[in-house]
Amino acid sequence: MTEPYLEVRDLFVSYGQIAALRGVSLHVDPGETVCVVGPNGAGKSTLMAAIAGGARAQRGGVYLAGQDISSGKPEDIARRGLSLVPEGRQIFSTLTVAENLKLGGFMQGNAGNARWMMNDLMDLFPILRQRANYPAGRLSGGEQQMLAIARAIMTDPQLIMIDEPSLGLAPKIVDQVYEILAEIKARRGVTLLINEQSSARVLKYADRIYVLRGGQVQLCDRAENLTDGEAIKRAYFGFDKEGV
Amino acid sequence: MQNDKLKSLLETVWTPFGLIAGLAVVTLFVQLMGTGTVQSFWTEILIRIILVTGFYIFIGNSGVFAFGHAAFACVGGYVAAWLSMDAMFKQIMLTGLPGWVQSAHVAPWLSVFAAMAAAAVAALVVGAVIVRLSDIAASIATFAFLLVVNRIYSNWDSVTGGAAPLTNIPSLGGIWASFVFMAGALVIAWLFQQSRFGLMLRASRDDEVAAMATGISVYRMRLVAFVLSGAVMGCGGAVYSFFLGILTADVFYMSLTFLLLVMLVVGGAESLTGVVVGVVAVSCVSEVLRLGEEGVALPNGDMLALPLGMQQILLGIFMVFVLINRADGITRGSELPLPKAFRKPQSIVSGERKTAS
Repeated sequence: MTEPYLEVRDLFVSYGQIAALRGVSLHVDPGETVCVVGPNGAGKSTLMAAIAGGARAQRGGVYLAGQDISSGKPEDIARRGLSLVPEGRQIFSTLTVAENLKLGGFMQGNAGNARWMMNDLMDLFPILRQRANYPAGRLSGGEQQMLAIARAIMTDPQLIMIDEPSLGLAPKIVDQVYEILAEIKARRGVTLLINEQSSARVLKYADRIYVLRGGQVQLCDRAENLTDGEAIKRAYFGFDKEGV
Repeated sequence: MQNDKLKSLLETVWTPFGLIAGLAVVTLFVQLMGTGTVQSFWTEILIRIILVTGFYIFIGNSGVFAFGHAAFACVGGYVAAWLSMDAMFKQIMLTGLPGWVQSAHVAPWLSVFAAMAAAAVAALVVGAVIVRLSDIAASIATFAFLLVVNRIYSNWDSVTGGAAPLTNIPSLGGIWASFVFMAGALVIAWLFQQSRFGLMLRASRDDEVAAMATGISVYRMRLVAFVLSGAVMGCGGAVYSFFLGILTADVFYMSLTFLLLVMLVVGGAESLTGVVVGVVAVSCVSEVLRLGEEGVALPNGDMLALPLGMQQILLGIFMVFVLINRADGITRGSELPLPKAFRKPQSIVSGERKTAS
């Protein structure tokens, strides 16, 4: 048994009176791809925000490689090797593509390595090399998503969290995004935690899947045990009995 | 290859170099041809460029509007005056000043640096608190700070002279002395915006959440910019007080704040070129309006003049007119473009920032 790289224990987060997470526990082992699936408002984004230091938990803890990070500042957590790609492809739209990538590299503290990685990433995403001097805001949605992922990789993280990479993208582009993620994983051995609304694509790429609904984990299993989709559907929509 | 390197170096230094060279040409022209009025009009423009650059370093890079920066100019202006004024006057009028300040007689140019240091310290203390606040709260808090500083400087008779102006402030020298400090301010602003601090701050302006996820401490970057902009405001305040030769706290108050912010917004708050363009454009419009308020004598002896106060009103309308047509200011956030002959082929697009919808 290896120690989980990321562990979330019994996490409670509420916004005022509204509870967004009600006792969520989850773990991600080194090298795994874990997907969190759930409908709108299930608490997926809140979960990532809480892990990355953007939302404060009322109860429970977040542990990165065994260390409690639940009260860390977002920028400090990012420096510990946990990179968040926020929902909605939040790139720095007035800066150029190259500047976006450079910013990710600042965190490494090793300018030579950062330059090398930037070159490597531009090989992986040829479109980013072509558009290096364009303002990032002028890229298409899919290109912006690629840039957001590339920027996250530039921080040289051990774990990348991606909040809904398929949001607002055409299915063909979403496939590309996932293929790139698989390639990055194969090359760099990073661990991935991905939020998605739909489970169809996730089954193909994930090692394990959590279904989140109403701020609670409804189901957690290895992807190969869920291939027929029935269990996910039940957990996702909350049908407890057959035929309801 | 060598050529390419040279070109990319040229690209990075072109904006401040081009702006300073352009302003130098005009300054030379004004010095050789201009009357006294024109010369002091242009000197005031140069000083306003320093002050608007001070605003710009924080506002342009962080995207957070700060209304209180004139307070740092006030701090700097008084420090410069205190250090360089005639000792006799200080011993009689400003009895509250410490003895060593009363007897000090520092060269004006040297006291500009002291003013910058003092303003930077003030900005560090104030910024450490204010910069933590969220955008609009920070803007209002900086405004409150301006009110506080103005009240203190207007009423602390034994130190600032209170309502009675400080007079006999020495002069810094001619038009070129102001020019040198203006060039320095532009270079400081440019170095900051090209530095990794500037880049990180501009990233946080675009998206604060993503910036933090990239490991950027938004608070620290904003504080660095706040202190630097405070120092430049201190420089502007000092040079301005030497230019005026007479000083009250109200020099650095609402109407100056309004004027400087109009300049920044009209020129385009997101580029250094916008600072220069805004100051020159608004100063010219405002001078025409001021002359309009003074009026012209008609042949029959009557005066035809705009009612007093129209200068501010029409300036406000001018700002609205510019903003309706160009919401991002005249420059739309782009810098002075490099002449085509010098450009590297692939960087043709670099001048097109902010045109995305």
